[in-house]
Amino acid sequence: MGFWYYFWTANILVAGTAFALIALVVAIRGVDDLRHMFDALRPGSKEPRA
Amino acid sequence: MNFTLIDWAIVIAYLAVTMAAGLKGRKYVLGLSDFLVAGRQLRPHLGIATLAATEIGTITFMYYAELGYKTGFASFVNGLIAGGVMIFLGCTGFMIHKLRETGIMTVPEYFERRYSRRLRVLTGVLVATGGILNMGVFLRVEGTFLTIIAGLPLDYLKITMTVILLLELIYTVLGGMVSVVITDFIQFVMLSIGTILITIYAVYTVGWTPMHDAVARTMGAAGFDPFLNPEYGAGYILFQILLWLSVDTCWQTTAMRTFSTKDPETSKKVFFWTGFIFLGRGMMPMLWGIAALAYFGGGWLYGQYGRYAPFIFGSSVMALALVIAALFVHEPRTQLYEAEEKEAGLLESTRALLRAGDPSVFWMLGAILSWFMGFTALEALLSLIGKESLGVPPDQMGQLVALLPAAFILCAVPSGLLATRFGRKPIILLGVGGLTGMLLYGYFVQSAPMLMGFLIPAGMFWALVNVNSLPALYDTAPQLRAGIITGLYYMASNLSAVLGPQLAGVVVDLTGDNYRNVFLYGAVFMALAGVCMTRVRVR
Repeated sequence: MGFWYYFWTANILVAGTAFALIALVVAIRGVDDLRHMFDALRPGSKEPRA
Repeated sequence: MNFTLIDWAIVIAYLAVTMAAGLKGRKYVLGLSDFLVAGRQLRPHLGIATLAATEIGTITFMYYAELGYKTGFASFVNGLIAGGVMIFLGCTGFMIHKLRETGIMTVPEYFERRYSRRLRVLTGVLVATGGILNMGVFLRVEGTFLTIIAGLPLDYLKITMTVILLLELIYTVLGGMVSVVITDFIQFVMLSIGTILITIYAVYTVGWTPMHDAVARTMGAAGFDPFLNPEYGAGYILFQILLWLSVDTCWQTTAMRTFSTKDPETSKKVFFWTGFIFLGRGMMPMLWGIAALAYFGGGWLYGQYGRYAPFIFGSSVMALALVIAALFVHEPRTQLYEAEEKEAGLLESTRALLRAGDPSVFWMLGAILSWFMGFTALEALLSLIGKESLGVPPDQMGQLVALLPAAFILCAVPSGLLATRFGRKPIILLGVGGLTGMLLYGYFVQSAPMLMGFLIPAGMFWALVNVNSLPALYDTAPQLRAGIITGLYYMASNLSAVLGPQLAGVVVDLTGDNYRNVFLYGAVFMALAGVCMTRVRVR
């Protein structure tokens, strides 16, 4: 029980911290990606289309 | 009906924003690839947001929390597998790299290329049937959840389901994957904030040790070891690994995200980082379930010691701080450095300030005085507001009030960073404006959940103001000595800490013991602080 308790404690710490940091970065940098997507999808864009 | 006018306003505003954003995608759809795979223009961050959002929602939260409540820490194995498999796919590119490389747009299309057109049709029918069944279950559960939460009679369930379906259909049919990506991004940001705040609140209020004790007491070793838990075991773990491998690669909803990425390397990056989101998206709701188990199964400090609890806790923390300071903090016996030149005294500084003829520092002090007048009154009387106006018991109110400093702590560092990026004055004005709005909302709060909706944003806005106020005061009067500015700051803030609650108390007395008026009182002073702040010229 002791091993699993410490194992899950470490897991939730890693998971929670990673979740918060990635969410923060994605929330900020994702806006640029959205803007880029709109630019690329705009008619007459030079970006190669699929 | 559980929902008040404000609750409905929040729901409708959120839906309106999401719908408007979703419909915006319509004008970017020019061809089939734009409709199905957003023109394959997903870069890593947007890809992470949409892939994560597609697997986060009401159902995920509900069943994961239930798993945590029923099977304790052992339930974390589900989150570990879901995240671990995705990280593995991101690292190796197993299947997803090839799938993206083929340039297909749907999973059945792959079967035609690999085998035959007939198999594509058969797979298409299977995928569509699976999707419809899945959507039916999700729609039913989400509709039931919303109906119960809103307090509507269950007769309205079909109408609720129809409304949800229609809203989703409108923007999906019109804007395709482009609309889905936009709405997914909004959902991801909102859900992430909510997930993090709820987790902090759960751990902060319940405590880690009580959670461990509650699981150990009710489930024993099976609450920790997934191989001992009758719900799991080696067979279940193997089944979950295979299930997630297929869901992440071939389930149409997930595969659409793979096909929409810019190139195969981007899809690998998206999967790798989303894997970490999946770890949290699984384990955090499970933790809420464990917190619920501990909360409903065990007592509280307040419940055990009554009104002595805050004093016992406060004095224990102070005693601990005293021991740490005495044992570990060593002040140098001599000054580490000498001042390079003699600094101006109070009188000389004040003369210099008056000679400069710049009233900014006085406006800044007026602003500081005003926002502390409003906020200290609110802090002092919040427990009474809960007890007298909302009927919330003191122990529960103590837990709720903790949300405000928790949100403050979470936003303290970002507030400083934002001020560095955009300037202190605009960020403080944003905080003051937000607090004024929240205080006006506070006047209409009717229940504990609504109060949570006030406390969290209020703590965040307060961080924008409080963190930047002393540096802003330094900026307004660089000719003054740092010590004098600090003195003026604390004089203004402590003066308002004395006057604010007194004046708010008078307002409550004069309005027939109506504690809600503390919110209006705070809003007035916050607005006044905003007016003062607009006159400040920050150097």
